[in-house]
Amino acid sequence: MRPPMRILSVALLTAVTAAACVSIDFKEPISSYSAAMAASGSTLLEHYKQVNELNRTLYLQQVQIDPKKEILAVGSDGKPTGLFATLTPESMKARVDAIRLLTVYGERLAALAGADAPQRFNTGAQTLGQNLLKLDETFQSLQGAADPTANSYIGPIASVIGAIGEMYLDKKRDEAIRDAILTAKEPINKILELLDADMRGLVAPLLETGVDQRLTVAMTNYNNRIDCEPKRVKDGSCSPINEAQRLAALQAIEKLAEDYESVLASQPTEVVDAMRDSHAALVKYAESSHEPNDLASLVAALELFNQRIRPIAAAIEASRSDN
Amino acid sequence: MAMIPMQNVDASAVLDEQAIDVETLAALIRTCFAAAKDGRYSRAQRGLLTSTGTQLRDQMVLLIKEVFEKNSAELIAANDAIKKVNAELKAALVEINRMADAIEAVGDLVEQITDLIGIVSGL
Repeated sequence: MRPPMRILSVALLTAVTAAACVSIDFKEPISSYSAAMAASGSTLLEHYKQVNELNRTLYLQQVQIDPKKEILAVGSDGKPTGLFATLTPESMKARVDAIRLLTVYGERLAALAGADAPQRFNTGAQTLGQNLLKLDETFQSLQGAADPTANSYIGPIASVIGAIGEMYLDKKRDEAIRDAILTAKEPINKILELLDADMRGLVAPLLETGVDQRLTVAMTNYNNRIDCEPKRVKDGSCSPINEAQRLAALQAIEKLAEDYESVLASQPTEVVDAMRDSHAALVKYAESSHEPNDLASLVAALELFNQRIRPIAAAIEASRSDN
Repeated sequence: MAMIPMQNVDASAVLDEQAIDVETLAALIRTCFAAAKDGRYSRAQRGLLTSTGTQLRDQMVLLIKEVFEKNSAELIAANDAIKKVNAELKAALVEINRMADAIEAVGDLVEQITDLIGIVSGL
């Protein structure tokens, strides 16, 4: 006995409604999270690179000021001079990998959240229904017999299969996203904690004192050379500065003073703080019951993340293009 | 800014006397450089402060390098955990795409069979 069409219609409606309810809106927030994580990662990598570059510049500044100073990779005290990277390639690799993995994590979450497989499944089921309908018609034409009601069920059944399949895949996708977010929670927290320790305890002090040293040494050198004592000129410990050199030195000092203020203003730790806050918001959403308010909180947290990262990334980019 | 008493400052002696953390060292360096830019000190004193700050910073670089290396092992372990999650995410995407691909392939197959029957039967 064939099921009445009304029952099929109700089943179809129920399935479609259920599919719509189950789907969790991960797509937009995760896409935003992914973009901001990528921008933050680039900014952090710039900070690490700056440390090595700055130490090399400081060493070369010392050599430049003292014309009798040899240029070396290892000093007479056996310590590295700063000519080569202060932070070793192996240690840098661990940081670069961590940042790259965080970016890939964001991209993969976004790819999964934005996957069109559930909709494709539904469309594929509808197409399959239509094709079965055509096949059925073809067979009936061959047999010369026609049952006009036989194929009237194929379309609705295909719709139900499509809706249920879409719902199933939506659910499967959202579960995979939620599982990934919860599994990644601790390792990401650990990575962010270590990056924070780097930025707070290592990178920030090195950058701050490094730009300060460049400025201070340039100022001290300028002050020493504006009125060299004849005795020091004679023994070669002071070379008098001419007007062109004086103006060039002042211009260089102006730029160094600007760099110094800019480094003090842009704290590298802010980037990790922003990453940590947004990651916490994502985990909170994954752990929540996905009420509209939960989603609104996540979107607000990610918007704030973007707002915090954009000016820092722009400032870093500007400082790179200046130099 | 409070004036700091000027004596012959030996940076390595300061470091040898006590264990010192990066934060304290960075504060000392900042103090040296700030005073080296302060006209209330004589030029000779400012020169000494500049070289002391520079020496202290060289020491800080060595200290930081050591801490940086130590943190790397922990970071590598956390990286391995994220690599696994990333692989699972990739596999999940492949799996849900496979189901959609399968139903699309069945639809295509039925269409091709219908076309084939049409051709064979001369419809």
